[in-house]
Amino acid sequence: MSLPKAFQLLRFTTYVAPRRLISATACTYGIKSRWQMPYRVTLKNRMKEMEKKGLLPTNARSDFIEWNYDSEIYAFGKRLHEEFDESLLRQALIDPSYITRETLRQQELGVEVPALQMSGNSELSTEGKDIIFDYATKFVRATHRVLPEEGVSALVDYLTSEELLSEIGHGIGLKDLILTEEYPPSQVTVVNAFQSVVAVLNRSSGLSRCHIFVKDFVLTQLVGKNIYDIWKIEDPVSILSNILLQNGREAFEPRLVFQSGKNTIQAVYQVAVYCEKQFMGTGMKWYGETVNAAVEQAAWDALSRLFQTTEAVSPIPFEKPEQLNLNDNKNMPIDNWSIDRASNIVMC
Amino acid sequence: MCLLWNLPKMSSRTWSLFWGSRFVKTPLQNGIGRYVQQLQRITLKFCKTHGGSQGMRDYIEKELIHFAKENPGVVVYVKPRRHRSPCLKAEYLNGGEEYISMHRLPADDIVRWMAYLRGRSGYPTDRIRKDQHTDHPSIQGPWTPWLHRDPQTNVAQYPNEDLSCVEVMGRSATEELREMFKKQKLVSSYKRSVES
Repeated sequence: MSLPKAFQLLRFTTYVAPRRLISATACTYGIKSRWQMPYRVTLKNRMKEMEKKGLLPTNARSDFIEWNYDSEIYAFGKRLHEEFDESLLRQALIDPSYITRETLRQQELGVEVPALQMSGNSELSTEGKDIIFDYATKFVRATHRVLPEEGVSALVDYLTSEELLSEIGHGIGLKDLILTEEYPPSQVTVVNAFQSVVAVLNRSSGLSRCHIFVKDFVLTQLVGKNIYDIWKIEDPVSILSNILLQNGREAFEPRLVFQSGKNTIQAVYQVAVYCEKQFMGTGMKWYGETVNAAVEQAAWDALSRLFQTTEAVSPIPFEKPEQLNLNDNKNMPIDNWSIDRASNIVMC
Repeated sequence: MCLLWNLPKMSSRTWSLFWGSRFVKTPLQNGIGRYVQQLQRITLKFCKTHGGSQGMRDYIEKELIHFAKENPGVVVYVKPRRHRSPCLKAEYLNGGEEYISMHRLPADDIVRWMAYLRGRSGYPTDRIRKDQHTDHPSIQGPWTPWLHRDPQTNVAQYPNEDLSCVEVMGRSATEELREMFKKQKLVSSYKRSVES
């Protein structure tokens, strides 16, 4: 070329000067090439899948060197703002399977009569289960006084179900504290330990304190849930007509309020249910694709209005449990549900 | 001086593609009954001789006892490791874990990082879509063409003269303003004539 050699070199140096070595930048500021992140995401997803299939080795938290069971037990009570009897709490966290395993292990090591001064939580677990069931039933009855007994038992079954109680047990940190054969502990083990913790609280701090505990951790799970997702009403039309018949009213009269897109694939109907010319309910948010489906929706809405469980009712009073009238009286069963009696009950 | 000029610019969409986003949520309805602190244990790892752990050693000597006293529900572990840089490892009740390097940080900074870890819920730091969330955005339900409509239109026979004619509206806001303006003009012209 016609340019002198020195000038070419100068051009080269001016071009390089403002740039830095990319490797140096990457070391200093952690800049990765663009395949790095997808690669890591893939690895992470693969690990998650292996974890799901149980291919990854899972170490119990207590296997690690930084583990102090005494401190963990102390912090457990403090975290929940409760005073537990320590020896009882330790017993509550021992699953019977742990004792069996320890006995076998000591026998394998040559100890003929293993000196194990521990008893499992089976007894405490049954005690706690009864407390939770009893208080949940009374609380749900007191907060839903017009709801039929079938609905109450469905809600209580949900609250005392294995899935929910084990979720709560994990949520208060029982997973690492339970002494059991397997790790991670199974659902049943966590549920037993949670119920035992409730029983221990009853023995340490008294029943009223225990009820507050159950209310705060178990019953608050009802918040934000739709009752009819938990209690499935199979045939609302026949239930509504049965209730009206039992109460000596006329049969309900479904009226077509609005319709749109008749004889098309997008047909939609809104039906309102009337009884003795009084409005009972209508499909407010859910309409029907056919007239029959719309009648079902309207009957369902009428039932939820009768049982005072619409979305507009006031929330469950968790902060004032002492104002609730807790007693053993059952709610009205659905086959014998009285409209007049329900109208006399005032919820506040 | 900002030396990060050759980092790729990332739109919020790309960010969400990798890191995701979520709504505000709380574990186990925490706070409706009682508040349970979600941090269950924290491990302070440090070296006894290395200079990078100087701040962490100061923190353990002066501040850690106060943290442990104020938070009895948190189990604090102190783990010396030879010639490795210091870090905090937090474990939460919902199984979440957080690991933060404390390399060459002074004790004051560690106080703040401990406070940060103490207040976390344990969920990963996703982009939060909104500051509030409800499962029931509307009690009344979505708007439909049937909402607040006169049911009489349902049984009307078409063609219908009453329903087909132009709807008679009241006076519009523009007309009101014009009227007011005219009045004002009249008053001001009257005043001017009186003054002259």
